[in-house]
This record gives sequence, C-alpha cells and structure tokens, in this order.
Amino acid sequence: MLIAWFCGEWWLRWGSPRVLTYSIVGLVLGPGLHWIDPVAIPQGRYITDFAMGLALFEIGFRLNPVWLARNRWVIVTSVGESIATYVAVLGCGIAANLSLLQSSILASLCVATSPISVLRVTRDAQSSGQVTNLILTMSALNSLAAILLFKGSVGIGLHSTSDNNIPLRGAVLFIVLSSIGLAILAAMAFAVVRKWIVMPQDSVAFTIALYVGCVTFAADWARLSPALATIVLGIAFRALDIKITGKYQDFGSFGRFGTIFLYLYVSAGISFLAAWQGLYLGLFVVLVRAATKIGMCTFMSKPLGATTRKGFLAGLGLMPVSVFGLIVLEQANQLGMPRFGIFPQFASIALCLEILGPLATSLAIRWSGEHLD
Amino acid sequence: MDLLSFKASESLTLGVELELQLVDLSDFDLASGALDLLRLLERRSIQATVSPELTASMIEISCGIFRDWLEMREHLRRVRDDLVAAADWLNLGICGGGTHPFQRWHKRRIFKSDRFIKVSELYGYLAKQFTVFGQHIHVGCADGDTALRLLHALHSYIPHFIALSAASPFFQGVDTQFDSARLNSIAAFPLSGRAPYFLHWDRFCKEYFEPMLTTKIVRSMKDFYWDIRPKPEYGTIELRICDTPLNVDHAALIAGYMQLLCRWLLVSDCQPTEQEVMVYSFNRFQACRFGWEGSYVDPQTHKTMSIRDSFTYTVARCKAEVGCLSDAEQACIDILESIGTDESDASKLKSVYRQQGTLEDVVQFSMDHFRTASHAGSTVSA
Repeated sequence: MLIAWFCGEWWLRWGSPRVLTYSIVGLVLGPGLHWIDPVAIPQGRYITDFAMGLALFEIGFRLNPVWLARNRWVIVTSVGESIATYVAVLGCGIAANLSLLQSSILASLCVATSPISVLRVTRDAQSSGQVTNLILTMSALNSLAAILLFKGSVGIGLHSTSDNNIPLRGAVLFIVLSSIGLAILAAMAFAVVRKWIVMPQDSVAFTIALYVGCVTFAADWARLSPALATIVLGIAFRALDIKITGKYQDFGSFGRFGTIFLYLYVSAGISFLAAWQGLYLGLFVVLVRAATKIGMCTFMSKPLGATTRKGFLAGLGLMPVSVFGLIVLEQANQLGMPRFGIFPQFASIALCLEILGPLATSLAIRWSGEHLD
Repeated sequence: MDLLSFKASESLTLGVELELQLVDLSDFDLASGALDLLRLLERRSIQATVSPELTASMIEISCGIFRDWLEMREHLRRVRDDLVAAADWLNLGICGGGTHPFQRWHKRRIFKSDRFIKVSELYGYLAKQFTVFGQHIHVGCADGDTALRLLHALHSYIPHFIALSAASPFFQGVDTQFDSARLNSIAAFPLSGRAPYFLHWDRFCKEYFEPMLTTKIVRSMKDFYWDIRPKPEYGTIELRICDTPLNVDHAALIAGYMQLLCRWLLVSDCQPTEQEVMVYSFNRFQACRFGWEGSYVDPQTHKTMSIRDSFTYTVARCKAEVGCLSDAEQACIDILESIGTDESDASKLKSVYRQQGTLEDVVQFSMDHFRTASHAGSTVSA
C-alpha cells in the first residue's frame, strides 16, 4: 500500500489519476510479481466492501431527484445507454457462444460505470461543471441499473436453468427488496438521531463513514447486497434532506485507505491467464460498450442542455467499470452465487478498463476544461 | 468612442447589474457552471445581457434602461425566472448574497477569457479571492459635470447603501461578524476606494484620467474599482458598493432609493466638498461591520448618529424636498420608511445559521429566497 500510495502521489504530478496508478501497481505486484495474493487475505473483502460502500453512498447522495424530475432527458439518456449497452453486450455474448445467462450477467455488469473510479478521478482533478455532473449522475443511475439487472439475470436465469436453485431464485428478490428496505430504514433512523445530536462539522465525515460501514456490514451479515444497500442509503439521505456538512468527499483518511486497498486487492485478483482466455470477446465488448455509451450521450446532448462535444465527453467519462463489476461479482459469489463461468471474459474487460477507464474519465474532464488549474 | 468624452443620457434613468452565485446542489459549494449556463442561455431568449465574471462560478446580468424602479423590478423578475429555469435544467443552484458562506478561494477557476486571464496574471491570488458578488446601479446623467457632482455628493450616503444591501456575513466558512464582508475583498485592489475629487469632467480627464491612460496602468474606466465611478460610455454614474441582495425585488428597491436620492441632490443643488473625505472611511467601515446599527458621522455637521437614523432622516428629507412625487417614488418611500426596522439580508442569513446550524442551510435559504421571495412592497403596483 505504501508503494501504491507513493506512486499515486508521484504520478499525480503528471496528471495521472491516482486510481490508475494503484491499479497498475496492483497488477504488477499481484499477477505480475506474485507479491500479493488476495486469496491469502480473505478478510480483505471486508475492507473492499467498506471502501466500495463509501463510494456508492457518496455517488447515491449526489443523485438529485429534483433535477431528474425537472430534466427528464437525464433519465431517458441513462436508461437509453443502459439498455443499448445491455442489448449490445448480450448480443456479443450470445454470438460468442456464451449461454443466455452468462451473456446476461456479463451485459448487466457492463452497464455500470464504476462509481469509485469516476469519483476519485473527478476529485483528483477537482473538477466541476456539466461533464463532471453528467458523469457522476449517470454513473449512479447506471450502477443502480446494473445491480438490478445483475440480480434480475441471476433470478430469472437460475429459474430457467435448474429447479434445484429455487431457494436461491426466491432469495434474489428477497435480497433486492431487503437491501433497499435496510437502507431506507437506516437513513430514516439517522435522520431522527441527527435532529437530537449536534454534530461538530469536523467529525461529520468520520461519523458518516462509520455509519456507512455499519450498513455495509449489516447487509453483509444478513447476506443481502452491500452494494445495493449503500447506494440506496445515499439516495435516501438526499431524499430525506439530510445535509452533510463539511468535507465529506473521499471520507478523509478512511476513504484514502479504503481506495488504495480496494484497487490493489481487486487488481491483484485479476488473472492474466483468465484475461488471455477471454481476450477477443473482452476487447470486442470494450469497444461495443464504448460505442453505446459515447454514442447515446452524444446523440442526447442537445436535449440534455449540453453541446455535442460535452455530450461526447460525458460518454467518454463513463468508461470505468472494472472495480465495481468485480466487487459485485465477488459479493454475489460470497452469497453462494457462482461466477457463472464468465470470469475470463470479464477479467479481460476489467484488465483493459482498469487502465483505460480512469484514463478516459481523466481525459474527458481535461478536454472539457472542468479541472482545477 | 473616445474614452474621454462623456455620452449624455436621459437624466435619472436607471440600469442595474447583478453578480450571481452558481451553486452545486449536492454539497452547496460554488459550482464552475458559468460557461454551461451561458451556452444554454444562448439557445433561449432572455431579456438581459448575461456575461461571465472573473471566476467560473459567477455570472453577471445587466438590464437597462428603466425610468423607475417598479419597471426595473418587473423586468428583473422575468429575468430571474428565466435564469432559474435554465439553472434548474443544468442541476445548478443560483442565488444572490455578497459572498458564498464557505467556498474556498483557491478552489475557484478563472473563467477562460483573455481579459480575465490577464487580470488573474496581474493580481495573482487576489483574482480568485474576488469571487464576491455585488450589485451595480447606473443612474443616467445629462453631462459629465453633473455626473461628477452627483458622484461626490453620493459618497456621504454610501453607508446607507451598504446597510441596505448587506448580505455577506459569512466568508470562507466563518462568521466574520461583519454585515458586509464582501467589501474587505475589494479593498485589497490598488485602484479601489474613493474616486479622486474632481467636480468638472474636463479637469478630471485632463489632470487624472488622461495621465493614468498614458501610464498604461489603466486602459479604460473599467479598470477602476472605485465605490462609485463615472461610466462615460453609458453616460451614467455607477454605484458599486452594494452586495447583491438575496432577491431581485430588493435589488430594484435599492436602485429606487438611488434614483430618489439623486433626484433630491439635483433638486437641492448639492455642492459636495472635499472635506467629506475625512469621515468617509470611518462611516464605510461602520456600515460594513455593524449594518444599520453602525455609527454615522455627518460629514458636514460632524454629529454622530446611527446609520439607521441617518437613513430615516434622509428619506424624510427626500420626501419633503423633492416636490411632486411619482407613484414609483411614493411606493419606494413607503417601503423605505419601514425597511429600517425590518431584518436586513445579513441578519436573515445569521438567523438561519443560528436556527439550522450549518452553512449549507444558509446557502439553501439563499437559493430558496432568490427563487421565490418578493419584497414586502411587492404588492405595490406601478
């Protein structure tokens, strides 16, 4: 982690996003030199869940329902690019002889834009403006869509393939509804407590981080979906008008620590051999996914209130997927759902977009001129 | 047009410029959304000139020319509604107020234009610290001599305008204990403060403006950040001391007071003197620090009273000595007579902070107030 941190700070001087450096260090030290073996630290997943939970909470909190109601083209664009991506990748999977279930799982993961990647890249650039706003909002929306599509694919797919999985099939719906319920209840409880307790501004980030951690581990303990619970928690905080004062972004040292660990842990877990096996389909899916996301955002730029160029850049900024997809896959695996045999294909996509994703977001922000000088 | 000639304009007509804040609706910090908003407004019709300001979190709207403040108020309301609708479309908040309560100056981005980049290179960090928001009021003058006479006579009443518009008690995340902290940011600029004392336009040009142009320290009147400055290309004097009020009705009312005051000064054939400079800085500071409760030293009599009393006395004199009042002037006086006892914008912001406990709530209040609030006198029709 020290090496990753040092390299991250060093390369930031040349404009390289920190998370990109963490990924490269993770790939070099993990599958490259075999210095890190995630299998040897099974407790690591608690830290990764926590770090991902913080990012999902933050991006859920940024989702402004009032804006979505006023400018409905944002939802239309997001739903459009999610459906286009899902259908296109599903088609790729079927054409490459994957089963319908495998193709659907792969497609649902590709719908997402990794929230932690776009958050960290925009924070590194200290960016503010329309492209940044669209990237973050659409990342929240399509991550939510991806989780629901993923769970739906698992539920429906298992139903159609084997009767032995009936308990699991029923559990999927239970997991989705219970995760949402847990998050809403947790947000309501926080709103009540917040009225009674005066929280000093400098301790807000710490308190929220602890609370998000509690919800993450509660969801994990109850065998629900921590990813879904934390993103809904953020949305519910916003909907209940709970104002988070001070600098909650990144959640200070908690967030930094979690981010470095998460990227190292996830990158180190990628198998070069698996990625090689799924290389052709993986690369093709990366291109198709880029085309659908960039194409849809560019096409919808005018109704969104943006220029064509900014629409294009918003689409380009939606490239990162790796960390989020791998964590969702891993969380499902922990719940007893198998990886559905799509790990090689997704490993290729993840490997490719571990590098290109943050780079694309960083370039989108730089080219839009929204970064701090 | 010749930089030195003063374009005659219809006496006592009004114009206004308002600098407004663009706010991120997630964390309530300032958002660098000026360019995006301007591009969207290019596609929509809006009855005002909307232009960028020094940093990318600010915009300025300019409207003119109006015969009275009620006409201005109606116009500003329409412009406000158009602006709010455009900002809503882009997920931006928009509000008045002289400062953003907790933005950090070093996080601001200079708006990419040649002029602003040059200003930024010249002033360094001061340029980013200049992310403060003011209201500028133009009053038409028949000639340059009248403009300078009015300009210097108005200096005595600067504390009234500061107290009337004060809306910047918080700055960089702290309660400054000032009612208007914005003016402290402007004071750092070398060409700020009070305009040099000249009562004749020809002398002003020959002995001050023209030599300044030859030094290349300034290129136009725009480079002077005086509290009141002549604007020869418009044929106006421009009052620049006011914070942007929390709503446009109040902005129009302040313009109404300026018009009334100028009319009274012209009717009473005011003759400003240089000795008024003596107490100017003290009065100005008192108004910034304490608002209506500040001390006011009368420049002529040297008697001390509160700014509130001085304001009430001045409004009464205007009412008595101006002669036949128009409907708009009467409506203005009616509101001004009660406003001294109303909460100022600064007090309202402090009150929200006391009750709600966070500066984010203060920003939320400012946005809500800008969008919906009308002045107490809004029912008065033209």
